[in-house]
Amino acid sequence: MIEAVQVSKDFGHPPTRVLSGIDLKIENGDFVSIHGRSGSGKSTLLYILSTLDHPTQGEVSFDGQKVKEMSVRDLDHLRNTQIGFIFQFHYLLPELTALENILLPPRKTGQQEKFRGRALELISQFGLKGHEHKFPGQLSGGQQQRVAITRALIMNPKYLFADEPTGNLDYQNGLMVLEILKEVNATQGATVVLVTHERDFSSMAKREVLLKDGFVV
Amino acid sequence: MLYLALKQLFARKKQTALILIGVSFGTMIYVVIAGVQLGLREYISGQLMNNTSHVRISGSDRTIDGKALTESFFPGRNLVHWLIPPLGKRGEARLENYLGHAHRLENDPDVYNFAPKLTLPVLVTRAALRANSELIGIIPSRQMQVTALADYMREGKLQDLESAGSRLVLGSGVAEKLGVSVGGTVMLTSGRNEGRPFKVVGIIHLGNHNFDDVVAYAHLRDVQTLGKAYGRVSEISIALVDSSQAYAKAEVWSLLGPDKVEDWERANAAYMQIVKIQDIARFVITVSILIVAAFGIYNILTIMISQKKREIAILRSMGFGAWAVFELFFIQGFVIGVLGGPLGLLIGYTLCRIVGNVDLGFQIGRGNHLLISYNPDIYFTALGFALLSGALASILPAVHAGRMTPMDIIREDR
Repeated sequence: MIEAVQVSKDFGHPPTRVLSGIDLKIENGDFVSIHGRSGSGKSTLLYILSTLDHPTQGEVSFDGQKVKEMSVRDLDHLRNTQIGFIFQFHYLLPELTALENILLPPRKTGQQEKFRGRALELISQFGLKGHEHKFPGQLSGGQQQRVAITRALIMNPKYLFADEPTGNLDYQNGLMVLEILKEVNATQGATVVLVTHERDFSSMAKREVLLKDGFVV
Repeated sequence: MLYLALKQLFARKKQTALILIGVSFGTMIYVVIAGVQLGLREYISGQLMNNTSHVRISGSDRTIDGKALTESFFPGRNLVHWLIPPLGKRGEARLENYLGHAHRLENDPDVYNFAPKLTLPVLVTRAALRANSELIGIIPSRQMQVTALADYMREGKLQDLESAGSRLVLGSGVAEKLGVSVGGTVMLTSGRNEGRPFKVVGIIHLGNHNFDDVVAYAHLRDVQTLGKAYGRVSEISIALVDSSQAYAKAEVWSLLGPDKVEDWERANAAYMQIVKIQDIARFVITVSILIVAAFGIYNILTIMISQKKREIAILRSMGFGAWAVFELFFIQGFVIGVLGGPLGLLIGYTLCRIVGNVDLGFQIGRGNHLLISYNPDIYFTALGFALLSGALASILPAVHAGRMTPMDIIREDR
């Protein structure tokens, strides 16, 4: 379970408050979408929940373990083994093929060969068969994002954080990405936290959180 | 991270090749300059060492004045007054106590070996042909332990002098002047006796006209007999176990008597200064080139890091730590040093071989080609420079990349 307690976040000097006293519990296996207008603080909340950013006040815990008490090494391990990230931009490494990009997380611990079979399964599942040896520049926008999702899922993560994953895609490709997230949540039991400003996609989650001016409404 | 670093490095072939050329060029320049400089230096040093060895003890060139004569002819009488005070020099500089020196040197553990020498100006004649020469009396077996003289024999062997019996090794210039070859006989006159025949058993060619046109070697005993200087020695050449101790040993020995003691470096002070200037010049040129190459690595890595921020962000979010990101970029700079260094060594070596085969049209040493040193130290130093420049130039950009947090990059991107 991910728990945020009285999380606030300030930016700049003088400080501007972006999040104010957020309390949020996300149970394991849940599919939560965070939506709101641009500047409402939804991405900031996602990055704090996913350990990439730190709150100015309050705390976040994963299965009871407080993030601020974890060492850098433990946080790196948590991100590598239990968390998957999907961003608005695919962030694929252009020098690596689709398959090599997907196998980057296990490469950190030298397990790329062990995960090769799973990578090929996921490639097939997400309609990327025949594209595994192509470089990102040879793939369409939708295919690039699906490779990025496959990379996020390769370690079979417990938590999946997606920040506007459909932002750079047309509606059909965006719908396909949401279907994948729903399927991963349903079949693998991964906890999915999705940030989107599109109501259609937000409503596909099990639970919606609306942010307005840094507050949960 | 080696895998990813190599992938990124070789994905930009043009950029990588350009920096590689820079590092290789610096390394190559060092190898060629050092090869030519040290080759010539080894040759000149060899020439100088033939005369001076590590330490040389010779008779001091003392003047004789009224005080010295008063002490010799009127000992204990202070009332002698010279109307015209005498002033002169000894006929020759000789060692005051050769046996004392020999005994001390034989028992000194720092001394590898020593060789006595007696130099005598002689007139060498063959029929109507004559040549002024400097006859050097040596003990060949000892001389070969202290200098590389035997390596310069063009014909015959230096050991052929060992048995004495009026045998002679002539400088190539002297032999040419007299039209004599090995097996021929020449007359030697010292001015103190009738001429005496010597059989030519070898020709030596040091590659330096100053020596080759005047020098002749014979056994020490033969030279002493010719000069009626029985038991006399004018110089001792000493080889030390550790040549760097030459200055210290010379300092100590000079306190033990009136004889002149000179270490190799002091005897060739002007030459040593040139050597130092050459070293500095070579160092400055090479470091300048490698600094330019290092800046190339630094600039390209810095640009690359600013272009690769998204990749850094995703790597950090996947659990790759700051050290892994540091490694990713450091390896790329270091690999350029690792590849550029040996490549530069190879090109430098090839160039040295080519330059070393160019016919200069005049004789230098035993040939007419530029003397090139292939001393492994040159190659190790050049490789060290290349690796160091690659490593140093990569550290700052790599540290900068390692300090980037995913959030800094993601916020910048949005």
